[in-house]
Amino acid sequence: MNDITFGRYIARETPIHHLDARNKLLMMILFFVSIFLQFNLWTTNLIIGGIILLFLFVFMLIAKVSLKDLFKSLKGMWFLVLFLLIIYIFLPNSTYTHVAFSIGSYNIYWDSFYQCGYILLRLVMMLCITMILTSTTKPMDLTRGLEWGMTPLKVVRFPAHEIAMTISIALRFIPTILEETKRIMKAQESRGVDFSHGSLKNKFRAIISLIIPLFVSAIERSEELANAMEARGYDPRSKRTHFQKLQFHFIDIIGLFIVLVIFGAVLTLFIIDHNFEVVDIINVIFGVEVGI
Amino acid sequence: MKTIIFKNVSYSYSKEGFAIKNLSLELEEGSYIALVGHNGSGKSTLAKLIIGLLPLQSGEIIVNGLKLEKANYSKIRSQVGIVFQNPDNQFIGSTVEDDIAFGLENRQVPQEDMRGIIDEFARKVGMIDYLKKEPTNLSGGQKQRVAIAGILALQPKVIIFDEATSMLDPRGRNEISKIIKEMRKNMPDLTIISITHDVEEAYQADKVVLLNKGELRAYDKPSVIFSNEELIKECNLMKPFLLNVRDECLKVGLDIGDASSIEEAVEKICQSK
Amino acid sequence: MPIKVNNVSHSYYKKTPNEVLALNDVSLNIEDGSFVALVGETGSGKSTLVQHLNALLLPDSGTVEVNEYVVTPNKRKNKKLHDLRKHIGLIFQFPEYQLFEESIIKDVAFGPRNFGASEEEARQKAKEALSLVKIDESYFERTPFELSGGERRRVAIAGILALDPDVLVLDEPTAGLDYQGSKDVMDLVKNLNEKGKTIILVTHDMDIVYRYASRVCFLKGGKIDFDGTPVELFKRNEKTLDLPYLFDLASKLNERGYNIPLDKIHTISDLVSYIRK
Repeated sequence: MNDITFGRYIARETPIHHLDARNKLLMMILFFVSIFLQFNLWTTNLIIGGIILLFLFVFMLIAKVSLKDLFKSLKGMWFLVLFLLIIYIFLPNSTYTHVAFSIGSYNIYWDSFYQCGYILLRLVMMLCITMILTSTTKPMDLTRGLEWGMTPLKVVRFPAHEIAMTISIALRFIPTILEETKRIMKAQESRGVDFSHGSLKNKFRAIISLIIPLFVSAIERSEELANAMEARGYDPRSKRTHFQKLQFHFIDIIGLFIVLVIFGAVLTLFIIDHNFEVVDIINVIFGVEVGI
Repeated sequence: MKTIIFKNVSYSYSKEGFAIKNLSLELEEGSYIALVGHNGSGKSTLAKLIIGLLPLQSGEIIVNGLKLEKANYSKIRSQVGIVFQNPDNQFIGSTVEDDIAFGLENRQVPQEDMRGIIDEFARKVGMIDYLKKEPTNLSGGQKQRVAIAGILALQPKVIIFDEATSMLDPRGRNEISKIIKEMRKNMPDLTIISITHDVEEAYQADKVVLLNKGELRAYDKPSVIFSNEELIKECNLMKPFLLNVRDECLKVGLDIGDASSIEEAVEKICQSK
Repeated sequence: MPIKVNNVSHSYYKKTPNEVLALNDVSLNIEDGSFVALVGETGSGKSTLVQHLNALLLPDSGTVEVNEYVVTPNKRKNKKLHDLRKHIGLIFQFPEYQLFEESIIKDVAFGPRNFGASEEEARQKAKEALSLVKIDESYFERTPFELSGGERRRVAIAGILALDPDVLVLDEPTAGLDYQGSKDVMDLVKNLNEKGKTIILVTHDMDIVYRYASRVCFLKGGKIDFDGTPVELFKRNEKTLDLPYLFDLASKLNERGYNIPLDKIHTISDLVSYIRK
């Protein structure tokens, strides 16, 4: 009985579902980098962002991820957007130049709206990427992908496996805990709690009456889960075999190629936009003056 | 052969009292044992001790000839499986097949063997058509069946049901009891320990272990234990229905003797007239 | 407070491919002081139905009338419904998971406080409710998390009883309890019914239905498939229900020529006394 389905793995047969989890993680990183490359002109930023978003939408269509879910989760963010807008409007940066209108001696800049919009755009893109990843990849595969990605860190005793396992279990239990939240809310509502109206003090009490039971049951749950895992012979320190094969298929190569092309294009534009020469890039990366 | 031997085992969670008090007990291999007692009588503690989920504080436990100690945990856990109470909190994989695979992966079963094993045991518990399903789309009974498959796939010598049906609806309960019946028939060497509140189920067992406040009160055939009025009262137990009928009849001078089913009881009542 | 459910329908996941019609045009009247059992398989709509009774869920169509309160599909018209929850106490499955205050008495007083009672009043109500569920006064200041499962359940039930509702709706109140725990809870429920409270009990346990309920509604696929006495239901659905042993034995004896009034036996000794006759 829960309608919040954001990011939950949905078993489907699409090309994106069949991609190797490691590959998908790699693609995700490439996309994230593309999103965070900032150009000089705000128009370029918006256009490039828009194009990336368009690609993401296409991927979402292929992966049969519902756009509706995306909009649903966006609906919850209007408060954040408003908050950002207020901050940007009332704390203008000295570089702002485009005055939209003035109230008395106070200038309101177009730049504020643009900054806010750009942040929103990036946020939407990040949401899309995460949604595509988590709803097309089984938590267990994701775990293995992550573990694989963090393998080099194992050298420095970084608990790669443990972290990956924790993430995968968290993903597995999201729907269960959402259901639990609903149940406890209803139980407290039956005791007269009103989650949507009332004074600040009452709202605070209402939230406490939800959070403590959730916390108590989460602790109980985690204890039982730990017991169940241990009883079935799980030991984070010992070797395990794997039922699901992580395998690079032909489709992975195609997928990676497409994403690399997009990434390459954005990167090239970025370099041109900043008038970088190869030398400059080395400077940027290594922070040393190669000099001529 | 004895599967599990307890020698003077005690366990306490706090200084205040014992959850298990000086318990000595030997369980027969291949038998179906019901572990009964009220809430807090120490039943679940006992189950957790057997596979080392709780550290042994005093006494000794021997499982299939292996002394319970840290070095043997892994071996013992591959021989003893537990189906826990809450179906949600033991479903670890993201799909049915992944969950059955979880134990196999821990045991380092080679990848190429897993498919066959998973299919075999999913079929045994009637979940072969659900391999790709996620836990949210399964009923409680189905999740428990997956848990059973995951344990049987490791070919254990002992399987413990820790109130495994208490959160299920009647349909789920019937599914599980059907599977247990089949296991009793087809796997004669498997020891089944059922921790339960259901005296009717306990009445069907080979032997009953009765715990009260952490102490072993009796270990005997169900007909013997449940006929002991005083003991039942002391341990806050209900009398199984058929025994109750027998005793109530006896009170009014009608001797119908032991009946193992309702049909038999009807027959005997009719004859006694 | 009589309850009238008029042609209520409700679906989940509305306007998605997964839409489920959980209640399909259900009508039902419940008189004051009755003891009604709602039975049916998981997913038959029992829980959905009871959540309409105190307006936790609103019908897609149809209405629920409880005295002056009318629950309608329209959200805006339902402003006064908050108070309805004081009159219809709904106890969910495993209610012990709703406990959160640091002391038992505070937790039980939480409900009355939400409905505007003063701290003193609320404490008084909590004390009364706790004595109803037989929690000793020496426990009042302890944390609820120290209690045993059965006691925690009873404290949670007290949390609703403290509102002094006219109607008590319980969803599987004995699930997961041992023999003594279940008996305590069912004795309490019976006792409340004898004091005049209407009881609506959602359960899978036909033994409980047979022993306690005077009326039973059997839901199937979101509709009321049967509404009548337990004995009638058992006779009608002999093959598909887990019949209570007592009923099973008695009806099998009747087939062999006995004449045991099925609706009058509640215990084995009742049954035996009729065998003697």
